[in-house]
Amino acid sequence: MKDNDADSRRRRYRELLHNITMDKDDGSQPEKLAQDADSSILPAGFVDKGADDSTGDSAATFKQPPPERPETIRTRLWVLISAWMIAIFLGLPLWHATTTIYRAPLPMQEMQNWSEGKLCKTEFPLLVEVEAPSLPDAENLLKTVQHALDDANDFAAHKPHHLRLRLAARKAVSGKDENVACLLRLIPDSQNGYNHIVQSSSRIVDIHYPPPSSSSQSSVSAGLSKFVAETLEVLFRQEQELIEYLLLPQTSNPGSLNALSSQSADEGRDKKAPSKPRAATADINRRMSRVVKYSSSYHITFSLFTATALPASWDIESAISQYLTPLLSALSPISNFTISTQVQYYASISSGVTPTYDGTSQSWTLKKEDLSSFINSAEWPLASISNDPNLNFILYIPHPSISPLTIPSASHSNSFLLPQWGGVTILNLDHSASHLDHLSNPTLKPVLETFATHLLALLGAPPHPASLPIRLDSLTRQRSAEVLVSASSTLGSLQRLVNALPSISIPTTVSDSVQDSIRHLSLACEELRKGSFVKALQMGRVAQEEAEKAFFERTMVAQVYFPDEHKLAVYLPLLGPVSVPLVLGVLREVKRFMEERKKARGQSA
Amino acid sequence: MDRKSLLVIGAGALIRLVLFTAFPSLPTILAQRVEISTPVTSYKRLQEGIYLYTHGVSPYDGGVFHQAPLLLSLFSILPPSTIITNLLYVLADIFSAISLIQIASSGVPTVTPHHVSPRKANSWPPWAIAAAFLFNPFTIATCIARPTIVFTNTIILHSIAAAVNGRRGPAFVSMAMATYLSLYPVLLLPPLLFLTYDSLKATSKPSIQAFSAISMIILSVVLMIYFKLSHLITGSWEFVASTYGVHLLLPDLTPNVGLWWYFFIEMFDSFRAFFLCLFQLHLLIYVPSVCLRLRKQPLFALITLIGISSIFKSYPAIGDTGLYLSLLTLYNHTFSLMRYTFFLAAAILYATFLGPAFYYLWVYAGSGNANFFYAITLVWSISNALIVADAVYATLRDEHETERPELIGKDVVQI
Amino acid sequence: MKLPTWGSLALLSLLPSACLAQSQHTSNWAVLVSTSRFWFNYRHLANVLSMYRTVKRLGIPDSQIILMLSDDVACNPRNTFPGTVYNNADRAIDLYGDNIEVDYRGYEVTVENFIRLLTDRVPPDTPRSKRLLTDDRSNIFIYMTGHGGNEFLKFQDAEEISAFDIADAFQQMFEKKRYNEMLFMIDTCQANTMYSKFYSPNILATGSSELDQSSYSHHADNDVGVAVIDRYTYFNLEYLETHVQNASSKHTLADLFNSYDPVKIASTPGIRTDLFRRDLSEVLITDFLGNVQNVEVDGDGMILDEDLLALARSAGYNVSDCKDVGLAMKRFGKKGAVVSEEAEKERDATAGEEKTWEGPARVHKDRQDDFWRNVMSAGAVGVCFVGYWVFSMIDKV
Repeated sequence: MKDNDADSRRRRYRELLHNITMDKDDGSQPEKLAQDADSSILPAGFVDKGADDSTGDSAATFKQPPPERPETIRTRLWVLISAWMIAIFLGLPLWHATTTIYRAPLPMQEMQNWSEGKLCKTEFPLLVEVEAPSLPDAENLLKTVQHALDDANDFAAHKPHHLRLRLAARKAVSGKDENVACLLRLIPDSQNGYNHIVQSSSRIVDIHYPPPSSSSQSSVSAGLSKFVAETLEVLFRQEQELIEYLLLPQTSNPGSLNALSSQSADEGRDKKAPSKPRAATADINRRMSRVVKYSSSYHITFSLFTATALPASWDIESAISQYLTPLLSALSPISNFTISTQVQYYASISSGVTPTYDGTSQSWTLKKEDLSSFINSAEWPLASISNDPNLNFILYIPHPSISPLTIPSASHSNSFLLPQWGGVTILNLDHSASHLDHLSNPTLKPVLETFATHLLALLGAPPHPASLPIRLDSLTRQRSAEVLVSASSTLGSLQRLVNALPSISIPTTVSDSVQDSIRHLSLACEELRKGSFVKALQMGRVAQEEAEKAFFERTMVAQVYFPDEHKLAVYLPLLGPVSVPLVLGVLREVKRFMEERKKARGQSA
Repeated sequence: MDRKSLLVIGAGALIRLVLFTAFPSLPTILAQRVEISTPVTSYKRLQEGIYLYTHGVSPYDGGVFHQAPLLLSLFSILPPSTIITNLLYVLADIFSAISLIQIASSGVPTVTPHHVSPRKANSWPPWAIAAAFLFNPFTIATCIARPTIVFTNTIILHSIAAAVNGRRGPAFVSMAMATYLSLYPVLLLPPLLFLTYDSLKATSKPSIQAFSAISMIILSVVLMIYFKLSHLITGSWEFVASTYGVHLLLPDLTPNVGLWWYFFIEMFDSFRAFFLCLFQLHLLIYVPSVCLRLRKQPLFALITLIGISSIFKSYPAIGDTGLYLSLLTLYNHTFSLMRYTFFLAAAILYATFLGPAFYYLWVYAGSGNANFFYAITLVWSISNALIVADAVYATLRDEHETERPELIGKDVVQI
Repeated sequence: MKLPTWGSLALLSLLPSACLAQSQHTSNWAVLVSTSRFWFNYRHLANVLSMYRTVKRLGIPDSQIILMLSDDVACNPRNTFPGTVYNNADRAIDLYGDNIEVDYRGYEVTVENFIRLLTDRVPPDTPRSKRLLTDDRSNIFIYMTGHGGNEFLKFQDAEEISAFDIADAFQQMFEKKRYNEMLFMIDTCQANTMYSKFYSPNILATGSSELDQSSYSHHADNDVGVAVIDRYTYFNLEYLETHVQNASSKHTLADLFNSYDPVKIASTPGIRTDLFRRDLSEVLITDFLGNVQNVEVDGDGMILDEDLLALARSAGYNVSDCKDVGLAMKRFGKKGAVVSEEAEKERDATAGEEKTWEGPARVHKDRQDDFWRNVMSAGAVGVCFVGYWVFSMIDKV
């Protein structure tokens, strides 16, 4: 077979073996074997699979291979194109879809603004009603008091926590209106002079003042207004300080390196409020340190640990329903509670704790240092299975040999509180008495009273004033401030986190939660401004929960640190070998095409 | 069918029945072999699914069962007897053998409208091809272990048999069933189209486009009927994710003879999705190439794709290789052109014997680790891939020689 | 009725502020991780169990200790003393004792679980004992041991955590205010590289060895047949055992760090203080390794109102009143919280869906059901065959 473009063909094909005849067909076609091998030409059917030839290797022994047939070339081209089509139109999009990290859009600026407290001027306008049936110019009095309060700068309107006075419209003493922080009743009292009495079970505060002598109406009014202002300050000052303390981290920048260190935060606080004595902040700090983190529901465990087998049982259910349930219902607008109880016999206190016998009081006493390791956490089954935060209340009955066991303290309750954890009461039973095997309801009454006090302290209810509704209202406001701050700062944390870790993926659930949280935050803010604190707490709670849900989204775990050279090492071992034939195929086709063009030009020239 | 064929079929059935009855524990032992039963075909898992199904619980609860719902229907109406189940599997193999005989008798392996093999006189008689299937130890072991891949294989073979005879309806209905049962046969559609088209009688040939469109419509309608039936009998669409989802996403990393399990055990989680796509695409990329290059012999393109998918699919088993090797015997006239027959046979034997041994060392004796078994599955896959490549080489060479008869008997090299 | 007087407040204000500075944390947590596996890594398990024993001895309750270890040594068939783990050839203390609570065991000890633990991005069904439920008043002690290298630590021969990963996790903890202060201690080869990438404040870090330094084991027990403890941990423990007797010990971290002797440890231990604010000589060891519960004895600054319960019950705030509030809130909740309503709808929808599948829990046979199911199955198989037949007919036409 003769060929015209021998030179170009020679560069592409090479004969490695010639004149070799192999009979692989088992002699079935012997007549073909007789063909003259020298005149045969090597096939070109497999050229698309071979390695590139070495050019310029022109030995005399090389024969000219036949030209490829056009349909062979076409088939080869189609095969190549089909493979590349799949790689480009399916492979590339899939590669993009499976390796890009999905990041749902988040309202970053808004989140930052919330965390910096720019979007909501948190306000706690407290409405105080004044009832002064016997005072003719009550309006005037109110104005004076309001002025006095505003001037004192403690309850001024520009502060987040401020008081507004209003004359009681109705005659009826309600004291139950949710939006009224307290009701002042001005009662003339000729015997005691200026005096205020807080009613313990309502929001009513009675203010007694000496009845005005007809001569000096104005001076009485001045004295009264001064006293009213003072009373209000006594009632609400602590709460106001607390609220300011709680709101402060919101205005400082928690993202900076030093802000969260408690010390520097303290310094910040001091700078912000130079007029405040450090002691007040310290007191708040100390009070807050025992308060458990806010949660919409808590689990309470009452445990009876007795050092012997006695008492064998206790009337805890009836005691709880009788003494504790009313308090828990009163707390229900703030948090819900679940309760479990347990009894453990032969429960020993930690081995390191050794009481000493005090001869003068004829009792065993525990040192204060011992109390911190009093809880025998290794042996007492105190781990909760509930998913809510757990509060433990432990009633401990000491062994007769070390009874009575006392704690040196000012009170007789023989109990102590463990911050953020629970309370312990040591109950010394008279071991000579009968009925030791059962703790009756009356015996438990003082214990539960102590626990109730502990519970209020752990939840953060202020110890002051004596009125329970006012204390709970105050707790509501305090918790509202807390959840608002917590929700906003969580949003801020999430925003900074998203910025800082580009490798983290953000699912749509996160952006949904963030939107929801922001919506509820602004709702809560509105409710606060209106003075309906229970609703505000409700909204703030949702906001906080949603913000936490967004932050703790479980799919948002950062990818393991993956430098680019590692990525190459992942891709290359598999993709390299697969792509070599594809790339080489394209190169060869391009080369063939160029040569054909050159040849065509040569012919036309 | 001639007497020899009947004899071979009878002997094949007899061997299976003897194995079932003489070694009653053999099916259980083999059913536990990872080389034979995969999570998507295992008989044990099928039993679990049937149990749940007949007790009113969704068969896909618990994540053990990953097979198509119609198999549940089939097995739940069978009397719950081992003998009948065994007979069903033996029947399936006999049916496969008959299909193979039909394919061989049709002459398509040697003569197509575009190509007539110069070696056509060399091809084996149909009974020999049936014998190669029925006495293939891989096929026998698969039949005894009773994975549901047996049915898929039977249906694929029947589909091919219908296609070579130009019977489009049965061919595509069967291929729809095979796709429904184990997803990967969907890759065989393009060559099946060509094969059926080429086998049509020359008098009433429509254009290839019209032919493909109608065939595709038939296939989709049938598939939809199957899906709707499945929905009706299981009461939910859960089966789609639990069967095809498992084929595609490989949630179950039980070892098998394939290449996927070890790779995806080791793969970083963040790249898992990408490499799943890559592995599936890798299978897909062969389909157009093989069909284009082997357009003259669509049956061989189909067989080659079966071979490729038996290596690269997500849950391969030796049953897939058994099917490929049996089908390959249809092209025995080109075997003389293969270059590495001895080496490949040795490698296959090597992997066959060392695989179980290494698996034992790893899982039971504890003196080896996963790499032992993985190394053997690599050898197995490479030798299978070389068989496919060598067979393609031989067939292309055969094809080439029809173009250039003067080359017969000459040696060729790749350049 | 007792009103607190200004006098009592004044008394409170006299509390020394120094005491406040010390007691900024109210709880102590410990995360103890042994990242290696297999018998020959006995010493890592012993390291971490020794630390576990120490922090427990100093009062951290099990509920606040997260113990992560492969736990494959005590009951290993190669263990001459089954069910025990010793950290000394004298075998005086069985660390595996009878009161061990392993939180993450075996194959649960993964990089992912560790990061999830730190960042609290855990699956919703995770029990409390497997979570680090800390807040901004918690001090955390993190101890890690295993096989490491330059800026990485291997987890069970399968994966590794890099210094960047830990640093990022700590930053996330800081962002979410999940700790007050943290002590990070690591005993592995090239340990000091592991804390070099930290950038979050209030973290004190210490490690056993510098870059390119190995961390060595202290001694082997010939009967056990393997090394039983690493040097760095050994000398830490030695100091803690001899000096810090109980939770009220006044020894400081400066004392502990001064006790390190590079010659004895055979590597150069590192201490990183630039992120930490307090002076080490003021930081008690028990601020991290012990549990300091600030007890408040009643009457000692706490006002106890005995008739509080009576108050709650009395007319001013009675139970029925609260019910009203509760109801009002429920109503409000429905109006306000759209999302929860949607969620409820969704729940209803899924409940409806569940109804369509009858009785997933029922695992007994019902004859009538069986009959219909068989009819349906037979029908389905029948349809397949009929379909096959129909299509073959169509073909012939």
